[in-house]
Order: sequence, then structure tokens, then C-alpha cells
Amino acid sequence: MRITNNLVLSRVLRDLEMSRRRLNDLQVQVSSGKRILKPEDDPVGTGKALGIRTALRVNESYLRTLEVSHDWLMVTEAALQTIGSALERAYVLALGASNDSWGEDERVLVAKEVEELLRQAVSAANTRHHDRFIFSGYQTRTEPFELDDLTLEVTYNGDGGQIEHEIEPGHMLVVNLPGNVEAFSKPFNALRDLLTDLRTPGATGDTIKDNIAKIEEARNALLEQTVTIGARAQAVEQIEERMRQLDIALQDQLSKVEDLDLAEGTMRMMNQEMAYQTLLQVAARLSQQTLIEFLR
Amino acid sequence: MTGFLGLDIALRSLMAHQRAMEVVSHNIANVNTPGYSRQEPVFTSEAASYSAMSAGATEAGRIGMGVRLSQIRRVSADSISRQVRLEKQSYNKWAIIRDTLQQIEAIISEPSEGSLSAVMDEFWAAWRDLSVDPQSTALRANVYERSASLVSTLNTYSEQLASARRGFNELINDTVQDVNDIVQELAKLNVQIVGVLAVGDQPNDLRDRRDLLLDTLSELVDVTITEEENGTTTVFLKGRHLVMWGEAGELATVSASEDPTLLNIVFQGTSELVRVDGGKLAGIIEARDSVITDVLDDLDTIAATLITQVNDVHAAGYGLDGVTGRDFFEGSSAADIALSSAVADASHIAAASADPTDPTVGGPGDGSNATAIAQIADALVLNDGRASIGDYYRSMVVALGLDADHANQMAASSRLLVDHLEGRREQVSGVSLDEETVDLIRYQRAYQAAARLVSVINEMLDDLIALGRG
Repeated sequence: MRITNNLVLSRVLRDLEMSRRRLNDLQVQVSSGKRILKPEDDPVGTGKALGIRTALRVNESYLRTLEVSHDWLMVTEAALQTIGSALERAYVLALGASNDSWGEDERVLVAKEVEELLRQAVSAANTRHHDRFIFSGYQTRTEPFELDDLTLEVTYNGDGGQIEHEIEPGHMLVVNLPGNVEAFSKPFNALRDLLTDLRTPGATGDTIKDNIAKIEEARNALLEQTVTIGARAQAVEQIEERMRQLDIALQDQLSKVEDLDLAEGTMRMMNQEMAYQTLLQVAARLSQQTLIEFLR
Repeated sequence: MTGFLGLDIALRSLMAHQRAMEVVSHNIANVNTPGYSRQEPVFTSEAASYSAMSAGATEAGRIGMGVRLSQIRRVSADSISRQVRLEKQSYNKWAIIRDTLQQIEAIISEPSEGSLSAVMDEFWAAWRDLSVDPQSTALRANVYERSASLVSTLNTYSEQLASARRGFNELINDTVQDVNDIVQELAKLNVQIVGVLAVGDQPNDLRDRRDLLLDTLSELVDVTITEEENGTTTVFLKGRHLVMWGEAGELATVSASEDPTLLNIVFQGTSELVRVDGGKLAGIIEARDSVITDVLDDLDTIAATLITQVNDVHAAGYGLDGVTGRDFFEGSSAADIALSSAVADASHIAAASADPTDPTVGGPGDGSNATAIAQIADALVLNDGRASIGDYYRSMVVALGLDADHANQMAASSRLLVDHLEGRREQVSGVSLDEETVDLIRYQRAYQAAARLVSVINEMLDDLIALGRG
């Protein structure tokens, strides 16, 4: 086999080129910390990485939704509790007022407090969250409850619209409580009736006693909704927790697919550097070796 | 023996070895000339002259007339050259396809933030965000902005791919010009080679030049080459003559009928399309007509699906102003997808599935239509109900990566084969400086010996003449 000068040189040049390219690839990987920079680096891995990134973004957007859902439910629960404590107080007052030993003056005083309780309850039912009325169904711009100062009737101006949030794929959760349910009408009516009875001249312990049952009934209606809302808030919290776990798991997966094992990458880069340097030395020696050098 | 015959022999040797050293010089001078095949002097012993009966005739027999440099032989490796050309066709085709795929990878820029995949995810997320607070002006503006960047990403990809496709026109023109130039020169060389052969010489360097041109031509198109007995070379392309004797064919470019912004190749003077299968030109055509076009088609499918799916759901919903039936997107492909002017006012975005201005059916808090649009992300609307839009795009990226990887390997392996074959050709016909140095010494020594012979004979003749005087 004849080995010509050009053959040797072109081979060394080619090897140098290839070695330099390999070194460059490894350097880029190490400096970026990524194993996949272009789809061709690992086509299937790229597909996986894209899928995981999408899943992460979807997860993030569900987490944002869950935060809003949770806020709605918490604000709702707090408002219901305000109405609940108004009923508690009314219950105590009604118990006291149903005692015949109470006189007219005392009943007037109690009536004042009950009126205040009614106003508190209505105001709680008109709670706004981020400038949206939470108890008016879809009519989030409309104040749901209106208290007539004369008749003390409370009218509902909202609708029965149930606001659903998709809190995880395919899971629709109703986050609002439209005001057209007994949890509102019963407490308002119970308070108004108590107030009316207290103000009726010649009211006796007996006429007022009827109201205690009504208040209890109202409390039950309210409690039923409070419990439902509380349960939903808990479900939201659980899903939130799960999604946070999922987020960590997905980050981990993405890192496994996409990221470079730094120790391994650095080692491989250093090996390649050595190989390249050796080649350079070989190339430097080659040019000195011809017969002409020895014929002087 | 007569001293004069010895002088003749010495003179022949001097001349032959001087010529041989010239061949060595020529070899050394061309050590770096591409396509050069080393040449070697062929010495032949000169037979005894029978016409001059007395000359060299002794009782022992006849002595020859010395040496003659009968031929300067070109050491070529034609069968390896044929393989080199075949492999070069393959390499150059795959190199173009590989470069194109890498260009597409750069345009698509996956995996990275800001790529289509990310922008599309943000688009769906914007709808989901809006669904929980459909009254919010900020979230409506967010949907609008995210949609605008989705649209512009699709437009940009499409435009960049189309421009890459148009960019091949220049390359096609240049390549066709190169083919025509080479073919012209080959025809001229045919005439010159025949001329040199006619006077009984070897057209060694013309043949080197011809072989180099054939190598270059093979890098461009998949020509078939035959060497005729008269020394000329005939070149065919797809059954037509490109070179025959002194005649050169010609290629030309015409606008493609299916897309006038693209060029196709024809034989000059005909409308017959040249469908090349190998070489750079074949790579260009495949990269343009299938590699880039496939990606463009996929993007168009994604854009068209987005447009119809989102528009269907959007048109069924209601804007905050209570108007229904509005489109969200306009257009039909990745190139022309745009946001409908109907939603330029963000309050017109249909987040509600019932009229929000009519309290008997709906209200501003209704975001269920936005949820329905966000759910399109997971709907299996492509590949006969087996893939979502995101799945479809991801498989496109995976296919792109696999193709690029494949093209890389094909180009690398044919490059390796070309290098290997060229190495083998170099082993046969390349110039080795060591070898030439040794030859130089050998011829120099022979020349010196012949010169010595002249001086010895001269001395002998001197002696003879002196004898005569005495």
C-alpha cells in the first residue's frame, strides 16, 4: 500500500475536524447544561420534553384556576358564617324575648339589634370579591339582595347561574352559590319575622316563641350550604396539593429527559479535549517527516 | 566493440534519464494539484539494430542499443474513480437534505421557550384563565395578546419556510450554470484528447482534467459516464446526451407550473423536466419539494384545525355585548391565519355560552364558553380522531428530529465512504514525495553513471589516438 503525503495530511485533517466537532458538541452541552438542543439530538426525547413542558404549563394554568376557585369558596364561606353568627345572636335574643317578664321597652331595644343583624346578613350576602358579587349567579355586576327599609322584605336580583370552574381535566366544580336558595331566603325571612313580631304592639312571649323554630330551620338551611361550600374548598385544596406534587414530578421528569448529567458530560468533554490535543501533537510532528529531511 | 556504439548507448541513457527526471519534476510540482495522477516513465531496452549488421555483432551475440523512454504512463485508478463519483452523488444529495433539515430545526427552534409549542400552550391557558373571571378586561386582553402571538408565530414559521424554499432558486440557477460550464469544457477536452492521441502521444494531463471535471459533475447530478474507444467521453443524463464528442447539451431553468415562484430544470430547448435522482441538484429538489413542503403542510393543517375548531365554539358563544356568531380567527393556513377583526374589541370575545345581557338566560359571570375553547386543546381532532393539535405538532417535531438524524447519518456515512475511496485512489495515483525523492536519486545515479561511461570511452579513445601517434 502506498501512503502518500497528501493521504496522510488529509486523514489527519479529517480526524482533526471530526474531533473538533465532537469537542464542540460536548462543550455546548456542558455550557448549556442541556442534553437536547435540537430535535435531532434525541428525536423521541424531544417529543417527550415537549409533552412534559405542555403538561407543566397546563398544570400551572389549573393551579391558577384552583387559586381563584379557592378564593371564591373561602369568601363565600366567610359570608355564610357572618349570616350564621347573625342567626346565632338572633336565636339568643329570641330566646330572651320570648320570656314574658320582658317589657315593651326591652323588646324595642332588642328589635333595634335584630334590625342591625338583618342589615349585617344582607350586607354579607352582598359580598364582593374582586369587584364581582359572588351570590348573584351569572349577574356578577348586579347587587343580589335589596332590603326594603319599610317592609324589610329582601328581594333577590340575581339569577340561578352556576359558575363552574374546570379545576382539573374534565372536572367541573361549581364555585358560587346563587342567592335564590333557602340558605338566604330563610334567614332573611326569619330575621324579618322576628323583627316584625318584636315591633308588634302587645307582643307576648308566646308570639315571639314561634320565631325560635323558624330561626333554627334557617340555621339548618344555612348550615347545609356552608358545609357543602366547606367540602368543596377542601376538595380544591386537595387537588391543589396533588397538582403541586405533579408539578414537582413533571419538573423532575423534564430534567431527566432534557438535562445533561453534568459530571458525566464534563468527564466526556475532558476526554475529548485530551484526544484532540493528542491529535494536534501528531499533526505537528507529521510535517517534519519526509525523506528530504534526512538526505542533507 | 567499437567505442562509438558505447557513446550512442551512453547518450541514449543520458537522454532517457534526463527525461525521467523531468517526469519526477512534473510529479513533485503537482503534488498538491487536485485530480492529478502521478506519471511514471516506462523504460524499454533498445533492441540490437539488425540493419547495421556489423554494429554490435560479435561472436558472442548481439548487444542491444541501450535504453529508450518508451512511454510516460499515467497511473490512474478508473474503477475507484467510478465508485467515488457514485458515492459523491449520494453524499451531496444528503448533505443538502441535512442542511435543510437543520435550517428547519433552527426555524422551529424546539425545544425552547417562545417556540410554537410554548405559544400554543399559553394560548389555551389564557382561555382557561378567562373562564374563571370572564368579566376581567385584563384577562380578555390577555387572550387577545396570546392569540396574536400564536398567530404571528405561525405566520413567521410559514414565511421563513417559504423563503427558505424560494432561496433554493439561486442555488438551482448556479448549479445548472456549473453543469453547463463543465459540460462545455468536457466537450472541448474530448476534441483535444482525440487530437493528442492522433499524433501518438498520451494526453495524461488532459485526462486528469477530464476526470476532475467528471468528479465535480457527479457531485451535481447523477450522470452516466462512458469512455469510448477513441478516447472521448460520453455523458448521459436521464437517457439524454450531455456530452458526445465535441457536442455539449445544455440545461435550463423554468418557473414551476404549480408555483411560479419556484424553478424547475429542463433540457434546453425542450419542456421536458429533468428529474435527477442523485447529486446536489437532486438534494435541492427533494429538500424543496418534499422536506420543507411536508413541514409547511403540517403547519397548515395545525393552523386550519385551530381556525375551524376555535371558530366553531367561539361563534356559538356570546360576547359581553350579547352578540353571538362572531369568528375568532380568519384565514385558512399558517401563512394567512389572523385574528378576526370582530374580536379586536376584547369585550367581543365570546366567553359566555348564553347572552350575558339577558338576565333570564345568562350574565357577565358566565365563562363556560371560554372553558369549552380551552378544552379544544385536549380534543382529538386530528389524524382521524387520534391526536390533539398538540399531539400532532409534537409528532411533527419528532419526525423532523428523526429525519435530521437520518440525513446526518446518511451524509456522514457516504462522506466516510467518499473519503475512504478517495484515499484508495490517492494510494494508487497520488504523488508520494518520498517515492519521488528515491526515483530522483535513482535517475540521477543512472545519469551520473552514463556520464561516467562517456568519459571512460573518451579516455579510451584518447589512449587509442595516442597509440596511433606513437
